[in-house]
Amino acid sequence: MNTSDLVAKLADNWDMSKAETRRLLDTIVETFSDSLANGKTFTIPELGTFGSSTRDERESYNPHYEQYMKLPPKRTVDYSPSKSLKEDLKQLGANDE
Amino acid sequence: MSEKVTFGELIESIAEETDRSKQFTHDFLKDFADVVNGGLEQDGTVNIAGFGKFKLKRVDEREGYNPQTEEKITIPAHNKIVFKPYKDLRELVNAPYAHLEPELIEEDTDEEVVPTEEKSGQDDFIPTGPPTSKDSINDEQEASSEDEAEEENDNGDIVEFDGEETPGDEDKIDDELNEFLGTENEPQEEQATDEQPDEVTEEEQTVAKDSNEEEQPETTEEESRFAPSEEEKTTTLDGKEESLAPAIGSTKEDGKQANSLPIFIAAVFILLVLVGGAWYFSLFSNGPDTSQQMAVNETSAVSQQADATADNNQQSTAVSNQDQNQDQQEGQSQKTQQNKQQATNTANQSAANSSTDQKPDAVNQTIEKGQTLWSLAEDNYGNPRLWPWIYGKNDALQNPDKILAGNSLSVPLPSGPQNNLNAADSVGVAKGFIATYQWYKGQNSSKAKNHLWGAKLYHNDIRSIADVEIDKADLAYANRAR
Repeated sequence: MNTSDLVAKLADNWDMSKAETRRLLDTIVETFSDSLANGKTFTIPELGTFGSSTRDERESYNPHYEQYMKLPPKRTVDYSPSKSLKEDLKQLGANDE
Repeated sequence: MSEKVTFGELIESIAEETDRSKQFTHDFLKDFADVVNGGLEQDGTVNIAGFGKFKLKRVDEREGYNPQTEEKITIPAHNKIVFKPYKDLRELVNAPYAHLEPELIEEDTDEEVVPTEEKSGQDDFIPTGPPTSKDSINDEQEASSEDEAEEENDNGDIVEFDGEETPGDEDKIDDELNEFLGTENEPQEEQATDEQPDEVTEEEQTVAKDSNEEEQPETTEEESRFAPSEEEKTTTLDGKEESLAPAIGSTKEDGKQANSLPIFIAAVFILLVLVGGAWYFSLFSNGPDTSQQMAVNETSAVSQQADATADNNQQSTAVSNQDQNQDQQEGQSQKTQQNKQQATNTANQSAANSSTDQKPDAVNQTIEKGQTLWSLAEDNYGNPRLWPWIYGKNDALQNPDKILAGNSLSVPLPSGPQNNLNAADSVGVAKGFIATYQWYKGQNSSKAKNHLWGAKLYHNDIRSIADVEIDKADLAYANRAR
């Protein structure tokens, strides 16, 4: 499912135009991004928790340069799915087998 | 760091921005979560533009154990949900560290490598290592005094002027070098003389006059008038050199301190350039003077070295001198490339030495028959696909598929560690690709978009560095890179 599918579905559910829904979705995504950029953690019910954490500086072998490189620290996005979502989809996988 | 934002606060800020009620926003967000869940259930992935991608990942059945009971259990196959943030979000979140780049881990032995390189670079003059540079000075002094002695036998009275002839001769050589190498040399020479204390420069001036007069032997009166004073000056000169020699020794002792290392490198550069120039010059003039000129040049180089090392205050001038020497070396290698191997030797030396210091941004190369931009890039970078970089740096080039033998090209050099590209180089490469894109686009060639694609590989934001119109279809094609 891509963004336009998502927008189509939401627009249908809420009886709004797609353009309007898209604008709304963009605002939501922007708010999420801003929160993450400011190091905030937040939880969306039924979806999961988003946050950010810092990876320490580390040394790693770069096979292209054939040399050890010092990689700088970086901050990444964390996501952990909500329990209900996890359980739902776990089931889905089991059923497929 | 991980300050929490409650769902309520989140809804509030979204509601404010969209001018909708909190209730609506709340319900809408819940529905959004439901739809995402539905999408995951339906086809396993959900992409949200500007945010990221939720994806179901299959985890196979595996053995595990319960850490509390230490019982072995079988973890059944299941799906886990992974979220992969898109680049925009990744960069936004990583903004505080965005300026950092991976760097090579320097090895401890690096500092020791520098002097050994220099040693190998000039075996002729310093056979066994740093302390001998002092010895070599003594050798030079001995050599010059031997010269004096020889000349004394030949010419009698003129002896006193021998030591003094050196500056004049040096000037002569340098002048001829200047003629040969172009004018770059002149300021350097001036600086070299400026470096020496006033006493010596004055001496040189008088001496230069004297030696001119002296070369066409004139009345003995004049000679005798000058002779005593000259003798005195010779001794002062010698005395000075002797006093300078220990100074070098002491800096050698301190040589392990990083502080004096640049001075030593600068001095070695000067020595290399002067000796290389004299050697090169000697190949062209088979006159009887050549060996003498060589010796003279060596002594002058050594005295320059002594000056540079002895006087800490002149460090900065020494460094600028070094720069000019580099320029000079470049010019030299450019001129002689067609005929002389030795030029490539000096070029190699300069490349080897400068890799420890600072590298030139680019070198000039003359195109030989059969060479292509592709082969030039392969020779210089080991990667022929970087050829647009050369094209981009040479505005004179029109058709990138056609270069003429005999023309000179400015070949940019990578300045990152291990001959790799640094950020600025990548931008240069990207600009080169844009230049080739522009040309092929002008020819309506289908190759054009591939070059834009190449530019995208080396620089993410093509539009910010391109000053030309870029076709939207081509840009879309290029944006698929990376």
